Amino acid sequence: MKFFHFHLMPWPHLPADFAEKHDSAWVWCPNGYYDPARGHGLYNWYIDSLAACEALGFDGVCVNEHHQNAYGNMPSPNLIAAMLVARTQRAKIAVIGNALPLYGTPLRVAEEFAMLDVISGGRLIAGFVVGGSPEYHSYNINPTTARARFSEAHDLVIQAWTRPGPFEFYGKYYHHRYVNPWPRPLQQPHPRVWIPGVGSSETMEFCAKRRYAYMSIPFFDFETVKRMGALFKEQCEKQGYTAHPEQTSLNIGVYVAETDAKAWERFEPPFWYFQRNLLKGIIDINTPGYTSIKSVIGMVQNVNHFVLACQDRGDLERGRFMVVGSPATVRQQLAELLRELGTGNLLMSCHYGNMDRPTYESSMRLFASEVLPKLRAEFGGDDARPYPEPRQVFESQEVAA
Amino acid sequence: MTPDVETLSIDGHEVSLRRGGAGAPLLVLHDVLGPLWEGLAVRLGRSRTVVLPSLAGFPGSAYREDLDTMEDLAFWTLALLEQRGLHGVDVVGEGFGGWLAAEVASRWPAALGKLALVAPFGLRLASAPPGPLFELRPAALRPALFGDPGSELAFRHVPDMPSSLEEFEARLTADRAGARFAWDPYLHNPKLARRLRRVRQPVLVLWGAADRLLPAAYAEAWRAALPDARACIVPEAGHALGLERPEPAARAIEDFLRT
Repeated sequence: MKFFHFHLMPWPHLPADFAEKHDSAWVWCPNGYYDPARGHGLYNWYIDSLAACEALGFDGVCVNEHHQNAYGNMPSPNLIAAMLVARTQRAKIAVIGNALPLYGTPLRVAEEFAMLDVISGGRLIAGFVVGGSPEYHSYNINPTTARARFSEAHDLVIQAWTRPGPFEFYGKYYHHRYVNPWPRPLQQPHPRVWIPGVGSSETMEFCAKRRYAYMSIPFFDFETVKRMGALFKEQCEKQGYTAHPEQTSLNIGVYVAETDAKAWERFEPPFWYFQRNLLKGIIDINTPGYTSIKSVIGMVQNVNHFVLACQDRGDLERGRFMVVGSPATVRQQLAELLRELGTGNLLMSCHYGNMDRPTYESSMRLFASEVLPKLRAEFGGDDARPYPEPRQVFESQEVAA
Repeated sequence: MTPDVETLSIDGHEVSLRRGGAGAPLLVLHDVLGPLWEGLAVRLGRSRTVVLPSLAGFPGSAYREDLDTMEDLAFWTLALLEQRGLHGVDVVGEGFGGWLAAEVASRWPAALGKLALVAPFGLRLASAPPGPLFELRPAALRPALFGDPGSELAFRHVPDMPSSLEEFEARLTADRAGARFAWDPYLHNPKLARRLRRVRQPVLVLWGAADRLLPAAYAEAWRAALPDARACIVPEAGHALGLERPEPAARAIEDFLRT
């Protein structure tokens, strides 16, 4: 079992009446609410938090990319990753991911990820994402091209890492007469690839074919996470192999205090700040053609399984959206979920919304001292099978061989 | 009047087309809501045989991964004209469809006859940038499209929640098709303004006085850019003029086509 700490780096200072006044924390949420002077302290605390994870016993940390919103203040996760590389020695740095279609050329991703991999001594996990639907407004990229751009950008990055350069790449969206990145990645043939998905069979098949990890995103109830995990494993079987436990993940919120009651008391206010303000707009700002029509309808039909449907603690507990409680409760519930899911990665969201530093740190200390060692003992030795070698599959249109 | 529905094939992809009315053919190019057999299209059937194709990717016609610019759609339209023997046909183009008519006519003026452009997309005035369309928020979309956003008509075409799965699918399909061609540059082609001098046929530009997507100031911009055009502002109408005020729009178009 590998333990990761995932951080969104959210903006915690929205006014109390934000949700009444604004229909979203995305795209058109006025950036006058961002206060750079407070941002200075906040960024440095968030970065300290992730840098501290290695000493706390985590295997790695996760950062991701978001644009022009209060939800996640990491427009460039690679910048944060670079700082974390310098402040850690062993931890994996998972950038999950870079939103490939939002880059002028994804060659930049190939270069920056290779830099991170070389500098860190091969500690990078390379995540690729399509980018959030609202971010197609924020970057003004035609959302009907999202999937085709992603597919082609993926092909460009993997080829940039693995084909001897210089070579020509002439796709529909990206044209390079000379692909020849310096540096090349340290991990061979290339860093592990993780792709977060929200349940579309296309993305699962994409990952299964290439032996990538398909990472579930948080915010769905556990039944949905389990169903997605099972569907991904089926896709791997269809490709003629059994999924490695580290090809999937449980991505879930975790909060620990001395007692269950205390844990919920501390966890709830920052969590509801997150849910009511920062998640607002994440699914209702649709961009046309961003996913297949089938997927949109599937998403709408699944909306009751999404965390936005939760009204209170009871809903969160019934849906097993979060693991909150005393060390004993958290240990027992996490063990249950990990066993039920049969995964080898736990990606923990330990900070939500406007959680303050003492509240966050007390939970982290308890988790590290009371929960993590016991879970390690319980799940140790699960990862004996070798992780599958990636398969090169290129499917984008008009890509020259 | 119930139209005949025909299916044809362009580049091997299915296209549906509705045809109804009597008289010489009149090609109607629809707006972003898709091919609607109501309002202006139906009313024009009294004097002409209305030919209403579902443009590529809109409900009724196959979505095409290989088409992504208005130029692609202009070539698609030429293929349609050739296939149906509609060379030189008079055209009514509403919004998105008006833009398409202008893209075709600015390249091959002789391919089309007279043009009636109803609040066409295609130009951008820095002094009056286009309003929100692809944000898809019903509460913002109704005022963008309808002069009276509280009307039954506005709620029927842009409901808060679709009333059936079919309606929802059709909505998603039309949204995707519009965005495919009009997302960026947003609702316009920066090269179109200077190309419009090539459109030598008579053009009628109709605009709803209460258009909030593209304010009526655009009517004058079109008139000034075209060699032979006149503009007419229809009161008490928004962008979806053909749905909200079909009668005055149809009369103006019939007068224009007759003379």
